[in-house]
Amino acid sequence: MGTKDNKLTIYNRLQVLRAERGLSRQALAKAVEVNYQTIGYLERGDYNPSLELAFRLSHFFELPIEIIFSTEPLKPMSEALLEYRKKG
Amino acid sequence: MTRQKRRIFAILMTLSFIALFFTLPLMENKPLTFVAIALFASLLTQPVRKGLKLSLGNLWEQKDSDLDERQQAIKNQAYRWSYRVMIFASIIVIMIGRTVLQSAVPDTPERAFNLLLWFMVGFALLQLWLPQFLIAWLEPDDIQADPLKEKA
Repeated sequence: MGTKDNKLTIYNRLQVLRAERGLSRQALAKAVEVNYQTIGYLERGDYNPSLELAFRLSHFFELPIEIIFSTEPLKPMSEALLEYRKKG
Repeated sequence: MTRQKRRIFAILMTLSFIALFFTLPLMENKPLTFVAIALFASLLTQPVRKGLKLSLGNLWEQKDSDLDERQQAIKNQAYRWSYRVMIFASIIVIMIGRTVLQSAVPDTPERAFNLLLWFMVGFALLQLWLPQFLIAWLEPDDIQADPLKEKA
């Protein structure tokens, strides 16, 4: 589990998901009701989202939270989705 | 703006406030001169203040309802630290004030009033500036331009 200064590091795929959908930071920020800088800080790993924001992002991308966020360095999305489906 | 640049700006602003604070007693009985100096200093620091404002928005004076969770967290952290520093500053001011009054350094009521005014100005400057300084200090580097911005 990744930690930095006793703080849990949460990895995420926001940048990839956003790029896949051709979304700007502003558009995503508007959709999940945060400031666009916050999206940037999330992508850069400078900020860990609250559970509420994580759920909002999960709903927006229509993906399970554990596909978007992880406490371990992230694997390619196809691999992660395959594992998720196997788990049922 | 990078965090390092923002911190340099914040230090510059702090130094200008300190300079202003220590100029005040020299301007005893010349309140207009002090106001002129304060306005001049305010003009000189305008680019620095503008830079900080652009980089941070007006985070420190916005309502919580207008901020998102990250902004609220950083604002709350800045204000929490400000209150701690203010309490510490208040204790120092009370201790100094007590010592000054006991030793009867201000020989006239006017001097005592000026001294009190000096501390009050310092206190007000600290209260106004500290949250901004802390937010400028705590915020990470600004986010780079978004290549997908045009597609939005």
